[in-house]
Amino acid sequence: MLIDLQRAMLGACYGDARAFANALPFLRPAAVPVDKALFIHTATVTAALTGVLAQAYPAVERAMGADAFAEAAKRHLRAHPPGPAMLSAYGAGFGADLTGELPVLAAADWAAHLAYFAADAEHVGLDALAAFAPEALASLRLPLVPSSALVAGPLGALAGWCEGRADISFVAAPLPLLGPDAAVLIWRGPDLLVAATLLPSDAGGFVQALGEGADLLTAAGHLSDAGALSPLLALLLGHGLIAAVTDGDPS
Amino acid sequence: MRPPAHPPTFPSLADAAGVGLRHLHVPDFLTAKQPVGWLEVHAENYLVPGGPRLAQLEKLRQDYPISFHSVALSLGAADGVDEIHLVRLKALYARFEPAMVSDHLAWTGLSGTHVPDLLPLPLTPETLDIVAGNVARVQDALGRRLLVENPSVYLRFQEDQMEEGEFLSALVARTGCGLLLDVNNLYVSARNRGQDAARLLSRFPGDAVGEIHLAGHASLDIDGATLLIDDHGSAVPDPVWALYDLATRYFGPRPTLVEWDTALPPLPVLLAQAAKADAVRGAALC
Repeated sequence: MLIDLQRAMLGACYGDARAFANALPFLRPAAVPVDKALFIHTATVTAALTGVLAQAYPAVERAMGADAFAEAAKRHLRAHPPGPAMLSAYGAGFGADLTGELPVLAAADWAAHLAYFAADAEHVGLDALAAFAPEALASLRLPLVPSSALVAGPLGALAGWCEGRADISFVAAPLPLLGPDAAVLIWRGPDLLVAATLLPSDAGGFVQALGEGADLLTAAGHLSDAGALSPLLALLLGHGLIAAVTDGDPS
Repeated sequence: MRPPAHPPTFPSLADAAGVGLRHLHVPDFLTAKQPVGWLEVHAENYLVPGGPRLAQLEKLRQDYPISFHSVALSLGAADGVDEIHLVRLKALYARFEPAMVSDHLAWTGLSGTHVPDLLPLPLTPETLDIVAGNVARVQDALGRRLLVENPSVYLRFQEDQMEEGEFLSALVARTGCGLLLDVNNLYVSARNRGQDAARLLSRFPGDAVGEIHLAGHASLDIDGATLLIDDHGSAVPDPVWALYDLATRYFGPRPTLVEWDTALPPLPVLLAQAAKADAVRGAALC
Protein backbone atom coordinates (compact mmCIF):
# COMPACT_ATOMS: atom_id res chain seq x y z
CA MET A 1 0.00 0.00 0.00
CA LEU A 2 1.27 3.44 -0.91
CA ILE A 3 0.39 4.83 2.49
CA ASP A 4 2.67 2.31 4.23
CA LEU A 5 5.58 3.40 2.07
CA GLN A 6 4.79 7.05 2.67
CA ARG A 7 4.58 6.62 6.44
CA ALA A 8 8.00 4.98 6.42
CA MET A 9 9.55 7.62 4.16
CA LEU A 10 8.04 10.46 6.19
CA GLY A 11 9.68 9.10 9.32
CA ALA A 12 12.94 8.52 7.46
CA CYS A 13 12.98 12.15 6.33
CA TYR A 14 12.75 13.28 9.95
CA GLY A 15 15.48 11.02 11.29
CA ASP A 16 13.39 8.14 12.66
CA ALA A 17 15.78 5.17 12.38
CA ARG A 18 13.04 2.56 12.59
CA ALA A 19 11.00 4.26 9.86
CA PHE A 20 14.15 4.54 7.75
CA ALA A 21 14.69 0.77 8.09
CA ASN A 22 11.02 0.14 7.28
CA ALA A 23 11.34 2.13 4.06
CA LEU A 24 14.30 0.18 2.68
CA PRO A 25 12.38 -2.99 1.63
CA PHE A 26 10.22 -0.82 -0.64
CA LEU A 27 13.28 0.22 -2.64
CA ARG A 28 14.78 -1.56 -5.63
CA PRO A 29 18.53 -2.19 -5.43
CA ALA A 30 20.57 -0.07 -7.84
CA ALA A 31 24.15 1.05 -8.41
CA VAL A 32 23.84 3.49 -5.52
CA PRO A 33 22.99 1.56 -2.33
CA VAL A 34 19.34 2.12 -1.43
CA ASP A 35 20.08 3.38 2.08
CA LYS A 36 22.35 6.07 0.67
CA ALA A 37 19.87 7.02 -2.02
CA LEU A 38 17.11 7.30 0.60
CA PHE A 39 19.38 9.36 2.83
CA ILE A 40 19.51 11.99 0.08
CA HIS A 41 15.95 12.86 1.06
CA THR A 42 16.72 12.91 4.79
CA ALA A 43 19.63 15.25 4.11
CA THR A 44 17.56 17.46 1.80
CA VAL A 45 14.82 17.89 4.39
CA THR A 46 17.35 18.65 7.13
CA ALA A 47 19.16 21.19 4.95
CA ALA A 48 15.96 22.83 3.76
CA LEU A 49 14.50 23.33 7.24
CA THR A 50 17.84 24.35 8.72
CA GLY A 51 17.95 27.03 6.03
CA VAL A 52 14.42 28.13 6.88
CA LEU A 53 15.36 28.47 10.55
CA ALA A 54 18.62 30.25 9.75
CA GLN A 55 16.72 32.77 7.65
CA ALA A 56 14.30 33.42 10.52
CA TYR A 57 16.95 33.45 13.27
CA PRO A 58 20.08 35.17 11.89
CA ALA A 59 21.14 36.68 15.23
CA VAL A 60 20.80 33.33 16.98
CA GLU A 61 22.86 31.62 14.29
CA ARG A 62 25.57 34.26 14.55
CA ALA A 63 25.65 33.97 18.34
CA MET A 64 25.76 30.16 18.35
CA GLY A 65 27.99 29.63 15.33
CA ALA A 66 26.91 27.76 12.23
CA ASP A 67 27.69 24.24 13.49
CA ALA A 68 25.96 24.57 16.86
CA PHE A 69 23.02 26.25 15.18
CA ALA A 70 22.74 23.40 12.67
CA GLU A 71 22.68 20.87 15.52
CA ALA A 72 19.99 22.83 17.35
CA ALA A 73 18.01 23.16 14.14
CA LYS A 74 18.24 19.42 13.50
CA ARG A 75 16.94 18.66 16.99
CA HIS A 76 14.10 21.12 16.53
CA LEU A 77 12.99 20.00 13.08
CA ARG A 78 12.98 16.36 14.12
CA ALA A 79 10.96 17.10 17.26
CA HIS A 80 8.72 19.66 15.58
CA PRO A 81 8.37 19.02 11.84
CA PRO A 82 6.29 21.57 9.97
CA GLY A 83 2.54 21.10 9.74
CA PRO A 84 1.28 23.45 7.05
CA ALA A 85 3.32 23.94 3.90
CA MET A 86 3.89 27.61 4.75
CA LEU A 87 7.53 27.65 5.69
CA SER A 88 7.50 31.39 6.39
CA ALA A 89 5.47 30.45 9.47
CA TYR A 90 7.75 27.58 10.53
CA GLY A 91 9.99 27.79 13.56
CA ALA A 92 7.93 29.75 16.09
CA GLY A 93 9.08 27.64 19.03
CA PHE A 94 12.73 27.33 18.10
CA GLY A 95 13.89 29.61 20.91
CA ALA A 96 12.18 27.59 23.63
CA ASP A 97 14.95 25.02 23.91
CA LEU A 98 17.82 27.53 23.85
CA THR A 99 19.60 28.77 26.96
CA GLY A 100 21.26 31.91 28.32
CA GLU A 101 20.51 35.06 26.33
CA LEU A 102 19.72 33.08 23.19
CA PRO A 103 15.94 32.94 23.87
CA VAL A 104 15.89 36.75 23.96
CA LEU A 105 17.74 36.93 20.64
CA ALA A 106 15.39 34.30 19.24
CA ALA A 107 12.32 36.23 20.35
CA ALA A 108 13.62 39.39 18.69
CA ASP A 109 14.56 37.52 15.50
CA TRP A 110 11.13 35.91 15.34
CA ALA A 111 9.37 39.25 15.93
CA ALA A 112 11.35 40.75 13.04
CA HIS A 113 10.52 37.73 10.88
CA LEU A 114 6.81 38.08 11.60
CA ALA A 115 6.95 41.83 11.02
CA TYR A 116 8.36 41.25 7.53
CA PHE A 117 5.44 39.00 6.56
CA ALA A 118 2.68 40.65 8.61
CA ALA A 119 -0.58 41.73 7.08
CA ASP A 120 -0.55 45.12 5.40
CA ALA A 121 -2.36 47.82 7.35
CA GLU A 122 -3.21 51.48 7.20
CA HIS A 123 -1.55 53.76 9.71
CA VAL A 124 -2.16 57.27 10.99
CA GLY A 125 0.32 60.08 11.58
CA LEU A 126 0.83 62.81 14.12
CA ASP A 127 -2.02 64.83 12.67
CA ALA A 128 -4.50 62.16 13.76
CA LEU A 129 -4.50 63.60 17.28
CA ALA A 130 -5.43 67.06 16.04
CA ALA A 131 -9.04 66.02 15.50
CA PHE A 132 -9.56 65.55 19.23
CA ALA A 133 -10.03 68.14 21.97
CA PRO A 134 -7.26 68.16 24.60
CA GLU A 135 -9.66 66.92 27.29
CA ALA A 136 -10.46 63.88 25.14
CA LEU A 137 -6.86 62.68 24.82
CA ALA A 138 -6.89 60.64 28.01
CA SER A 139 -9.60 58.32 26.72
CA LEU A 140 -8.15 57.81 23.25
CA ARG A 141 -7.10 54.37 22.12
CA LEU A 142 -4.22 53.90 19.70
CA PRO A 143 -4.12 50.32 18.43
CA LEU A 144 -0.80 49.25 16.94
CA VAL A 145 -0.31 48.00 13.38
CA PRO A 146 -0.26 44.17 13.13
CA SER A 147 3.45 44.01 12.34
CA SER A 148 4.46 45.47 15.70
CA ALA A 149 5.84 43.45 18.60
CA LEU A 150 7.75 44.05 21.81
CA VAL A 151 10.50 41.86 23.19
CA ALA A 152 11.72 42.44 26.74
CA GLY A 153 15.11 41.37 28.02
CA PRO A 154 18.51 42.49 29.27
CA LEU A 155 19.55 45.80 27.71
CA GLY A 156 22.94 44.40 26.72
CA ALA A 157 21.44 41.48 24.83
CA LEU A 158 18.87 43.63 23.05
CA ALA A 159 21.43 46.29 22.15
CA GLY A 160 23.68 43.57 20.78
CA TRP A 161 20.80 42.20 18.74
CA CYS A 162 20.18 45.66 17.29
CA GLU A 163 23.84 46.08 16.34
CA GLY A 164 23.94 42.67 14.67
CA ARG A 165 20.88 43.00 12.47
CA ALA A 166 22.21 45.10 9.60
CA ASP A 167 19.10 44.25 7.58
CA ILE A 168 16.87 46.18 9.98
CA SER A 169 16.37 49.93 10.01
CA PHE A 170 17.13 51.22 13.50
CA VAL A 171 15.44 54.28 14.97
CA ALA A 172 17.29 56.10 17.75
CA ALA A 173 15.94 55.33 21.20
CA PRO A 174 13.43 58.08 22.09
CA LEU A 175 14.25 57.94 25.81
CA PRO A 176 17.35 57.35 27.94
CA LEU A 177 18.17 53.68 28.44
CA LEU A 178 19.25 53.01 31.99
CA GLY A 179 19.08 49.21 32.13
CA PRO A 180 19.57 46.59 33.27
CA ASP A 181 16.40 45.61 31.40
CA ALA A 182 14.79 47.13 28.34
CA ALA A 183 12.47 46.29 25.47
CA VAL A 184 12.94 46.35 21.74
CA LEU A 185 10.00 47.51 19.68
CA ILE A 186 9.91 45.95 16.21
CA TRP A 187 7.58 46.81 13.34
CA ARG A 188 7.37 47.14 9.58
CA GLY A 189 7.24 50.72 8.46
CA PRO A 190 5.27 52.34 5.64
CA ASP A 191 8.33 51.85 3.41
CA LEU A 192 7.88 48.06 3.96
CA LEU A 193 11.22 47.85 5.77
CA VAL A 194 11.42 46.21 9.19
CA ALA A 195 12.42 48.74 11.83
CA ALA A 196 13.26 48.61 15.52
CA THR A 197 14.05 50.82 18.46
CA LEU A 198 15.07 50.30 22.08
CA LEU A 199 12.85 51.45 24.91
CA PRO A 200 13.19 51.56 28.69
CA SER A 201 11.15 48.85 30.36
CA ASP A 202 8.43 51.21 31.55
CA ALA A 203 8.00 52.62 28.05
CA GLY A 204 7.72 49.04 26.83
CA GLY A 205 4.88 48.58 29.30
CA PHE A 206 3.18 51.67 27.89
CA VAL A 207 3.39 50.39 24.32
CA GLN A 208 2.29 46.93 25.39
CA ALA A 209 -0.79 48.38 27.07
CA LEU A 210 -1.71 50.40 23.97
CA GLY A 211 -1.38 47.30 21.89
CA GLU A 212 -3.71 45.47 24.23
CA GLY A 213 -6.39 48.13 23.82
CA ALA A 214 -5.87 50.30 26.90
CA ASP A 215 -6.78 53.96 26.67
CA LEU A 216 -4.00 56.52 26.72
CA LEU A 217 -4.43 57.42 30.40
CA THR A 218 -4.29 53.79 31.50
CA ALA A 219 -1.32 53.03 29.28
CA ALA A 220 0.51 56.11 30.53
CA GLY A 221 0.17 54.71 34.03
CA HIS A 222 3.05 52.37 33.16
CA LEU A 223 5.42 55.31 32.70
CA SER A 224 7.60 56.33 35.61
CA ASP A 225 8.00 59.81 34.10
CA ALA A 226 5.03 61.57 32.50
CA GLY A 227 7.49 63.50 30.36
CA ALA A 228 8.12 60.30 28.39
CA LEU A 229 4.63 60.39 26.89
CA SER A 230 5.33 63.04 24.29
CA PRO A 231 8.46 61.45 22.73
CA LEU A 232 6.75 58.06 22.75
CA LEU A 233 3.72 59.35 20.89
CA ALA A 234 6.04 61.10 18.44
CA LEU A 235 7.79 57.80 17.85
CA LEU A 236 4.63 55.74 17.43
CA LEU A 237 2.74 58.23 15.27
CA GLY A 238 5.78 59.37 13.34
CA HIS A 239 6.92 55.94 12.25
CA GLY A 240 3.67 54.31 11.16
CA LEU A 241 3.09 52.22 14.29
CA ILE A 242 -0.46 53.35 15.06
CA ALA A 243 -3.27 51.84 13.01
CA ALA A 244 -5.96 54.30 14.13
CA VAL A 245 -6.89 56.81 16.81
CA THR A 246 -10.30 56.22 18.31
CA ASP A 247 -12.18 57.59 21.26
CA GLY A 248 -14.34 54.56 21.94
CA ASP A 249 -13.95 51.33 23.82
CA PRO A 250 -12.66 48.74 21.30
CA SER A 251 -15.09 46.18 22.72
CA MET B 1 -14.28 19.50 -13.92
CA ARG B 2 -12.54 17.99 -16.90
CA PRO B 3 -10.51 20.61 -18.80
CA PRO B 4 -10.25 20.48 -22.60
CA ALA B 5 -8.02 17.79 -24.03
CA HIS B 6 -5.29 20.12 -25.15
CA PRO B 7 -3.57 22.64 -22.93
CA PRO B 8 -4.34 26.27 -23.52
CA THR B 9 -1.72 27.98 -25.60
CA PHE B 10 0.08 31.12 -24.52
CA PRO B 11 1.69 32.35 -27.74
CA SER B 12 3.44 35.21 -26.03
CA LEU B 13 4.96 32.87 -23.47
CA ALA B 14 6.22 30.50 -26.13
CA ASP B 15 7.93 33.30 -28.05
CA ALA B 16 10.55 34.14 -25.43
CA ALA B 17 11.90 32.09 -22.54
CA GLY B 18 11.15 33.05 -18.98
CA VAL B 19 13.19 32.74 -15.82
CA GLY B 20 12.41 31.65 -12.31
CA LEU B 21 12.21 34.78 -10.16
CA ARG B 22 14.35 34.56 -7.04
CA HIS B 23 14.48 37.16 -4.27
CA LEU B 24 18.08 38.14 -5.00
CA HIS B 25 17.11 39.25 -8.51
CA VAL B 26 13.93 41.11 -7.62
CA PRO B 27 15.67 44.53 -7.38
CA ASP B 28 17.04 44.06 -10.92
CA PHE B 29 13.52 43.53 -12.21
CA LEU B 30 12.06 46.41 -10.23
CA THR B 31 14.62 48.94 -11.43
CA ALA B 32 14.69 48.08 -15.15
CA LYS B 33 12.73 46.08 -17.69
CA GLN B 34 14.64 42.88 -18.30
CA PRO B 35 14.73 40.97 -21.59
CA VAL B 36 12.70 37.92 -20.59
CA GLY B 37 9.35 36.74 -21.82
CA TRP B 38 7.84 35.94 -18.45
CA LEU B 39 8.51 35.11 -14.83
CA GLU B 40 7.72 32.09 -12.72
CA VAL B 41 7.54 32.17 -8.93
CA HIS B 42 7.25 29.49 -6.30
CA ALA B 43 3.70 29.91 -5.07
CA GLU B 44 4.49 28.96 -1.47
CA ASN B 45 6.91 31.90 -1.18
CA TYR B 46 3.92 34.20 -1.60
CA LEU B 47 1.57 32.51 0.86
CA VAL B 48 2.19 35.26 3.40
CA PRO B 49 -0.23 37.71 5.04
CA GLY B 50 1.41 40.81 3.53
CA GLY B 51 4.64 42.72 3.15
CA PRO B 52 7.26 43.40 0.50
CA ARG B 53 7.06 40.14 -1.44
CA LEU B 54 3.42 40.56 -2.38
CA ALA B 55 3.90 44.25 -3.09
CA GLN B 56 6.86 43.53 -5.37
CA LEU B 57 4.95 40.86 -7.25
CA GLU B 58 2.03 43.23 -7.74
CA LYS B 59 4.44 45.61 -9.47
CA LEU B 60 6.16 42.94 -11.54
CA ARG B 61 2.93 41.50 -12.88
CA GLN B 62 2.31 44.84 -14.58
CA ASP B 63 5.35 44.20 -16.79
CA TYR B 64 5.63 40.42 -17.11
CA PRO B 65 3.26 37.47 -17.45
CA ILE B 66 3.51 35.48 -14.23
CA SER B 67 3.35 31.72 -13.77
CA PHE B 68 2.91 30.10 -10.38
CA HIS B 69 4.81 26.91 -9.66
CA SER B 70 3.81 25.29 -6.38
CA VAL B 71 5.86 22.68 -4.58
CA ALA B 72 3.53 21.48 -1.85
CA LEU B 73 0.21 20.33 -3.25
CA SER B 74 1.43 16.80 -2.52
CA LEU B 75 -0.34 15.35 -5.54
CA GLY B 76 0.90 11.86 -4.67
CA ALA B 77 -0.16 11.83 -1.02
CA ALA B 78 -2.14 8.70 -0.22
CA ASP B 79 -4.33 10.66 2.22
CA GLY B 80 -5.23 13.36 -0.30
CA VAL B 81 -4.22 16.93 -0.94
CA ASP B 82 -4.05 19.44 1.89
CA GLU B 83 -7.39 21.24 1.55
CA ILE B 84 -6.26 24.25 3.57
CA HIS B 85 -3.21 24.64 1.36
CA LEU B 86 -5.43 24.37 -1.68
CA VAL B 87 -7.71 27.15 -0.40
CA ARG B 88 -4.69 29.38 0.19
CA LEU B 89 -3.36 28.74 -3.31
CA LYS B 90 -6.75 29.43 -4.82
CA ALA B 91 -6.87 32.82 -3.12
CA LEU B 92 -3.34 33.61 -4.27
CA TYR B 93 -4.15 32.67 -7.86
CA ALA B 94 -7.36 34.72 -7.77
CA ARG B 95 -5.30 37.74 -6.75
CA PHE B 96 -2.47 37.39 -9.28
CA GLU B 97 -4.26 35.67 -12.19
CA PRO B 98 -1.22 33.63 -13.31
CA ALA B 99 -0.89 32.51 -16.91
CA MET B 100 -0.10 28.96 -15.79
CA VAL B 101 -0.14 26.97 -12.57
CA SER B 102 1.84 23.82 -11.94
CA ASP B 103 3.07 21.34 -9.35
CA HIS B 104 4.91 18.02 -9.28
CA LEU B 105 4.36 14.30 -9.65
CA ALA B 106 5.53 13.82 -6.08
CA TRP B 107 4.34 13.90 -2.51
CA THR B 108 5.37 16.45 0.10
CA GLY B 109 3.42 15.55 3.19
CA LEU B 110 1.20 13.09 4.97
CA SER B 111 -1.17 13.20 7.92
CA GLY B 112 -0.70 16.90 8.47
CA THR B 113 3.10 16.86 8.39
CA HIS B 114 4.83 18.74 5.59
CA VAL B 115 8.09 17.58 4.02
CA PRO B 116 10.09 20.25 2.17
CA ASP B 117 11.27 17.85 -0.52
CA LEU B 118 9.70 16.36 -3.63
CA LEU B 119 9.45 12.74 -2.58
CA PRO B 120 9.21 10.05 -5.26
CA LEU B 121 6.31 7.74 -5.98
CA PRO B 122 6.19 4.11 -7.08
CA LEU B 123 4.62 4.08 -10.54
CA THR B 124 1.75 1.65 -10.01
CA PRO B 125 -1.98 1.51 -10.78
CA GLU B 126 -2.68 2.33 -7.11
CA THR B 127 -0.50 5.44 -7.32
CA LEU B 128 -2.17 6.44 -10.57
CA ASP B 129 -5.59 6.22 -8.89
CA ILE B 130 -4.38 8.39 -6.01
CA VAL B 131 -2.62 11.00 -8.14
CA ALA B 132 -5.51 11.18 -10.61
CA GLY B 133 -7.94 11.74 -7.74
CA ASN B 134 -5.77 14.44 -6.24
CA VAL B 135 -5.17 16.21 -9.57
CA ALA B 136 -8.91 16.16 -10.28
CA ARG B 137 -9.58 17.62 -6.83
CA VAL B 138 -7.06 20.41 -7.40
CA GLN B 139 -8.43 21.25 -10.85
CA ASP B 140 -11.97 21.26 -9.49
CA ALA B 141 -10.99 23.61 -6.68
CA LEU B 142 -8.93 25.94 -8.84
CA GLY B 143 -11.31 25.81 -11.78
CA ARG B 144 -8.44 25.50 -14.20
CA ARG B 145 -5.95 23.11 -15.72
CA LEU B 146 -2.93 22.13 -13.66
CA LEU B 147 0.41 21.32 -15.27
CA VAL B 148 2.06 18.33 -13.58
CA GLU B 149 5.87 18.19 -13.66
CA ASN B 150 7.94 15.04 -14.08
CA PRO B 151 10.27 14.85 -11.04
CA SER B 152 13.95 14.10 -10.57
CA VAL B 153 14.24 10.73 -8.85
CA TYR B 154 17.15 9.21 -6.96
CA LEU B 155 15.70 5.78 -6.27
CA ARG B 156 13.33 3.19 -7.71
CA PHE B 157 10.73 1.07 -6.00
CA GLN B 158 10.20 -2.67 -5.93
CA GLU B 159 6.58 -2.04 -6.90
CA ASP B 160 7.32 0.04 -10.03
CA GLN B 161 5.16 -1.29 -12.86
CA MET B 162 5.02 1.58 -15.33
CA GLU B 163 7.42 3.89 -17.07
CA GLU B 164 7.03 7.57 -16.34
CA GLY B 165 5.76 8.45 -19.83
CA GLU B 166 3.14 5.71 -19.63
CA PHE B 167 2.09 6.89 -16.18
CA LEU B 168 1.80 10.52 -17.25
CA SER B 169 -0.12 9.62 -20.40
CA ALA B 170 -2.66 7.76 -18.29
CA LEU B 171 -2.84 10.69 -15.85
CA VAL B 172 -3.54 13.13 -18.69
CA ALA B 173 -6.18 10.82 -20.13
CA ARG B 174 -7.95 10.48 -16.80
CA THR B 175 -7.81 14.07 -15.58
CA GLY B 176 -7.26 16.30 -18.59
CA CYS B 177 -4.32 17.87 -16.81
CA GLY B 178 -1.40 19.33 -18.72
CA LEU B 179 2.24 18.47 -18.21
CA LEU B 180 5.30 20.46 -17.35
CA LEU B 181 8.22 18.73 -19.01
CA ASP B 182 11.32 19.37 -16.94
CA VAL B 183 14.06 18.34 -19.33
CA ASN B 184 16.70 18.40 -16.63
CA ASN B 185 14.57 16.16 -14.40
CA LEU B 186 14.04 13.77 -17.26
CA TYR B 187 17.80 13.59 -17.84
CA VAL B 188 18.64 13.25 -14.14
CA SER B 189 16.08 10.51 -13.59
CA ALA B 190 17.13 8.63 -16.71
CA ARG B 191 20.78 8.66 -15.67
CA ASN B 192 19.98 7.66 -12.10
CA ARG B 193 17.80 4.78 -13.32
CA GLY B 194 20.30 3.67 -15.97
CA GLN B 195 17.88 4.56 -18.76
CA ASP B 196 18.27 6.35 -22.08
CA ALA B 197 16.93 9.90 -21.77
CA ALA B 198 16.23 10.36 -25.49
CA ARG B 199 14.15 7.18 -25.51
CA LEU B 200 12.18 8.36 -22.48
CA LEU B 201 11.61 11.72 -24.14
CA SER B 202 10.27 10.02 -27.27
CA ARG B 203 7.66 8.32 -25.06
CA PHE B 204 6.71 11.48 -23.20
CA PRO B 205 3.11 12.55 -23.95
CA GLY B 206 4.15 15.69 -25.80
CA ASP B 207 0.66 16.84 -26.81
CA ALA B 208 -0.06 17.62 -23.17
CA VAL B 209 3.12 19.60 -22.56
CA GLY B 210 2.18 23.16 -21.64
CA GLU B 211 5.55 24.26 -20.29
CA ILE B 212 9.20 23.20 -20.32
CA HIS B 213 11.75 23.68 -17.55
CA LEU B 214 15.51 23.81 -18.00
CA ALA B 215 18.08 23.79 -15.19
CA GLY B 216 21.44 22.49 -14.12
CA HIS B 217 22.28 19.59 -11.83
CA ALA B 218 25.12 18.33 -9.67
CA SER B 219 26.93 15.02 -9.71
CA LEU B 220 27.57 13.04 -6.53
CA ASP B 221 29.92 10.09 -6.22
CA ILE B 222 28.53 7.46 -3.84
CA ASP B 223 30.55 4.28 -3.35
CA GLY B 224 31.93 4.60 -6.87
CA ALA B 225 28.51 5.11 -8.44
CA THR B 226 27.32 8.46 -9.76
CA LEU B 227 24.06 10.00 -8.62
CA LEU B 228 22.85 13.15 -10.33
CA ILE B 229 21.20 15.66 -8.01
CA ASP B 230 18.67 18.19 -9.26
CA ASP B 231 20.15 21.16 -7.39
CA HIS B 232 19.42 23.97 -9.88
CA GLY B 233 22.82 25.34 -8.97
CA SER B 234 24.61 25.71 -12.30
CA ALA B 235 24.15 26.48 -15.96
CA VAL B 236 22.09 24.14 -18.11
CA PRO B 237 24.53 21.43 -19.22
CA ASP B 238 25.03 20.34 -22.82
CA PRO B 239 23.12 17.02 -22.58
CA VAL B 240 20.07 18.92 -21.31
CA TRP B 241 20.34 21.46 -24.12
CA ALA B 242 20.48 18.57 -26.57
CA LEU B 243 17.33 17.06 -25.07
CA TYR B 244 15.61 20.46 -25.21
CA ASP B 245 16.47 20.70 -28.89
CA LEU B 246 14.97 17.25 -29.36
CA ALA B 247 11.87 18.09 -27.34
CA THR B 248 11.27 21.20 -29.45
CA ARG B 249 11.59 19.15 -32.62
CA TYR B 250 9.19 16.51 -31.25
CA PHE B 251 6.59 18.73 -29.63
CA GLY B 252 6.95 22.18 -31.19
CA PRO B 253 7.56 25.44 -29.33
CA ARG B 254 6.33 25.52 -25.74
CA PRO B 255 6.70 28.14 -23.01
CA THR B 256 10.19 27.53 -21.67
CA LEU B 257 11.66 28.52 -18.34
CA VAL B 258 15.21 28.51 -17.00
CA GLU B 259 15.47 27.77 -13.27
CA TRP B 260 18.44 28.56 -11.06
CA ASP B 261 17.85 28.24 -7.31
CA THR B 262 21.15 27.65 -5.50
CA ALA B 263 24.50 29.41 -5.90
CA LEU B 264 22.56 32.12 -7.72
CA PRO B 265 24.57 33.98 -10.34
CA PRO B 266 24.14 37.66 -11.24
CA LEU B 267 20.99 38.16 -13.29
CA PRO B 268 22.82 38.64 -16.64
CA VAL B 269 24.10 35.06 -16.39
CA LEU B 270 20.56 33.76 -15.97
CA LEU B 271 19.29 36.00 -18.77
CA ALA B 272 21.98 34.60 -21.05
CA GLN B 273 20.64 31.11 -20.36
CA ALA B 274 17.14 32.26 -21.31
CA ALA B 275 18.52 33.78 -24.51
CA LYS B 276 20.26 30.52 -25.28
CA ALA B 277 16.95 28.68 -24.83
CA ASP B 278 15.43 31.03 -27.39
CA ALA B 279 18.30 30.34 -29.78
CA VAL B 280 18.09 26.57 -29.37
CA ARG B 281 14.33 26.63 -29.88
CA GLY B 282 14.66 28.90 -32.90
CA ALA B 283 17.28 26.68 -34.52
CA ALA B 284 15.22 23.55 -33.89
CA LEU B 285 12.21 25.06 -35.62
CA CYS B 286 14.06 26.19 -38.74
